[in-house]
This record gives sequence, structure tokens and C-alpha cells, in this order.
Amino acid sequence: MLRRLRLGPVVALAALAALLAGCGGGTAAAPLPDGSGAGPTGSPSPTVTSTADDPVLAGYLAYWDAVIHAHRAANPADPALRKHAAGAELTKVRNAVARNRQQQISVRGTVTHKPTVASVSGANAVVDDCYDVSAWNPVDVRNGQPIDAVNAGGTGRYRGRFGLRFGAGGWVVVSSSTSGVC
Amino acid sequence: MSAGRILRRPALALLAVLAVLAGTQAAGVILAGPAAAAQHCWFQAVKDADGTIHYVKRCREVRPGQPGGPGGGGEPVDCGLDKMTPQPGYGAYFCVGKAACTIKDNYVPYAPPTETAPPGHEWKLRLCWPCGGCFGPPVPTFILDGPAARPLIVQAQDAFGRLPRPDANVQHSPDTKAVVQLDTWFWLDPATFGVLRGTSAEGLVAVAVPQATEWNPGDGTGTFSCEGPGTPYSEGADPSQACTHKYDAMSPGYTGSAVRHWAVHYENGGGVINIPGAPADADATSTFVIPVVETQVEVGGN
Repeated sequence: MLRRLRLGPVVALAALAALLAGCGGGTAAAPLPDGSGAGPTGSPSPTVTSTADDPVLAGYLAYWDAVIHAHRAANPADPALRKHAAGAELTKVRNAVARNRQQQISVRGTVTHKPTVASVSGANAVVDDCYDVSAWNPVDVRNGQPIDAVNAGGTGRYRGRFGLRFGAGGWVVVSSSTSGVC
Repeated sequence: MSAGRILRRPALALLAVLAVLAGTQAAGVILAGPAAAAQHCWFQAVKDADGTIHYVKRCREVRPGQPGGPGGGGEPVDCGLDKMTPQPGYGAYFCVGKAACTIKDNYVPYAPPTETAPPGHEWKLRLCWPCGGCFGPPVPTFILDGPAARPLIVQAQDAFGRLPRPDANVQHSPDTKAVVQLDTWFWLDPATFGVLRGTSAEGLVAVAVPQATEWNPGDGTGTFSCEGPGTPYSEGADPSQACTHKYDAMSPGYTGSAVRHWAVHYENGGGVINIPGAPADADATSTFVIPVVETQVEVGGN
């Protein structure tokens, strides 16, 4: 299954702004591309262009929607996180967003997936995914400029394993780990 | 108990010109004199699998008139020095990555950073053209020029030690005596839990951003943590956002504590800088005494 979150035009605008700054040498800081991406509210949710029929995968992809939304808003307290992640995973994601926030960084763009349900046992499930963060990139919230970053794994594609638990709100991600690139 | 969710956004004092650092790097500051051989260091952003960004420090020696700076990869970089025309008031040209740069004697009309240059240092204006002969105005960047600075870890410890930590003003509701089995709200005066800044002699800034408050209600039930300073009690305040505790037993006075935790990062010239080994957390403990009483409700019959 290949699932893609649509890349908003704001990223392209940010890239264009960076190009102009680099070549033109402008001195004024560019505004945030969408004027609200750094705040805890007002950031548009990533658009899902396809949905998973499998409830486990639906929960898994909803988790990523929440992660992307929180990173975009640079808001570790994003309420969506609590709906789709729990326990150690919730803490882990919040810490990641908080660390970026401290550095005045918002991460914007898309993450693509090739998830499969590895197992379902009662209220527990495991999803394996080869996800690609190469189009999910940092932006300096102070001036809206993209930050040139290299992927720690080289390609930006990671083999991940995600543990999910079924609760009152459906499937939520409770653990995650990566094991190299894919 | 439930955790308040107030996170204060750090009010960073930006160096306006540094905010428009162009080129491919996130931040670059030259810490030695530009006219002589200098070590140019910059911080390469690295994106982890979970989207977290961390910075890796990279350095290379830069000599005026010679290729250098980020992006060189050890190979000479043609930044177009031969196309640059010497002008009065401009120093020798040198490469920073693929940009041709010079130091301008007079930085008018650009405004230097509001931050005072450390003793023995001064702000100088570096102008960089993306490549020799490229169309367009140069990108200005203010750099600190002066004698060699102390090691970054020493500067960081200096800056960390200068973080002012105000005494906490613990507040609770009920404000005089807590009541057994009823929620007691705890919070801090937000003014005592804001963003803190400490600056080293060289200008390295430690920035402490409030994270959470760890509360010990003093009754032996252990600690609990709430984000930020907590939510003050008021009529109509959302209990789900409050930092609360229920006491099970009365006492003439439980001695509790509130530990404020800050996450500390460092900034140099307006850019975030990763300094391995530098203190990353700061905290401050305050104690309080709270009496707990038991109320009896009389239920009358008809």
C-alpha cells in the first residue's frame, strides 16, 4: 500500500523564498509561509488522499497524521497526538516535537508509507512500514526559511515497526522502533 | 490529577540580520579574526527518522583568498573570487562555501545586533555574494571578531551559571486549607516559570525553556508532573487542564515541593548551537506547607 500526504503549496513557496534569499541577498526575514504554521492552532491538517480500509492501518496512518500535524505546528501538546498515540510512544513523539520547538523548528511536508499489518493478536497489533521522510523537512519558524538538512539514514526511508493497542478510541500507536533503511 | 498543557513559547531575542543567513547552512558564525586564518564552523542540520533535527558541528579553516567554508568537502571551491572587484572599504575576498565574501569596514546602513559584543570583541559586517559576479545584492551577516574565545563547553557552563532562577510562588486552591477527597489545584505564578537567559562573556546565550513542574503534595503518595506552571483556579476554569491532587488524610500541614524543570539550549549569534556535554536541564525546587482538613456533611432527613 502506498499512501501519500499531499504536499502543500506552502513548502514550495518556502523553497522559492529561500532561493530568492540565496541569490538575491535580501536582508528582510521572510514571513512564515502560511502565517500560522508555528502556532499551536491554525495549522491545516495534512490532506489524506487515500484511506486505509484496515482499521489497524487506519489507526496507524491517523497516528502519522497527528505526528505530522504536531510537528508542523511545533506543538508537543497537540491534542491529536493523544488520540492516536499512547504511553511511551506519546511521550516519545512529544519529546521529538518539543526538541524541534526549542530549536524554533517546524517540520513540514509529507511522509509516504508502505505499511503492512504484521500481526494482530487480540487488542494488540504490529505494523511494519517502509516510510519515507525525505519530503518532510524542517523550516525555521522565525522566518519561514527551509533548513537544509541531511537525512540521518541517508535516503530518508526507514524500516519501522510500530506497536498498536486497541482502546476506546480505536487503534493507537504505543511503541515504535526503526531498524535501518529500506 | 491531570496535567496542564501550557507551554510557553520562547521569546527569543533574534539577531535580525543573522536570521536571514542564506546559502545552504542553518547558521554560521566566525569566532576568529577574518583577516587571518580562521576556523569557520557551521552546524549541519541532520534529520532523524522521527523528524527530530539535531545539529552536527563542522569546521574548516578559512583563509582570505582561499576556498573554504561549508560545502567544500575538502575540495577547492570556486566561489568566483577572480570576478570580484576590490573596492575601498572592503577587505580581501574569501570563500565561504560557494559564496564570495568580504568584510566591510563600515556597516552602515545595516544595524548591528542589539546584543553587546563581549569584551575584546566587536561586531563586523560580512557581505557574501552567492557566487562571483552573480546578480543581486550581497547577503549581510554580522560576525564577532576578536581574540580566540574560550572553548564552547566553558562558555556554555558560564552561560548556564548565569541563568536567573526566580523563587517560585506556589499557589493552591483552596488557598488556606485543602480538603480531604476534594481536588486541590496547584499552580505557580507564571512570572516565576518563564523563559530564562544567561549570557557568557563571549556572548553565548543559554536559553532555558519551561517544561514541566514536578509536584510532591507531601502526603507520601509520590510525585506527579504537570506541563508548565499549571492552571490557576477560577470559576469556570477547565478542570481537565488543571494540575490537581486529592488528599486522603487530614494533616496540620503537609510539606510539599514543586520542582520546576527547564530544557536548556544554547544560541550563538542568534542560531541554535549544539554543545556536547553542556547542561541540558535546569531545575529549581520550592517547598510549601499545606494544611488538610476533613469536612463533614450533615445530611438531614424529613
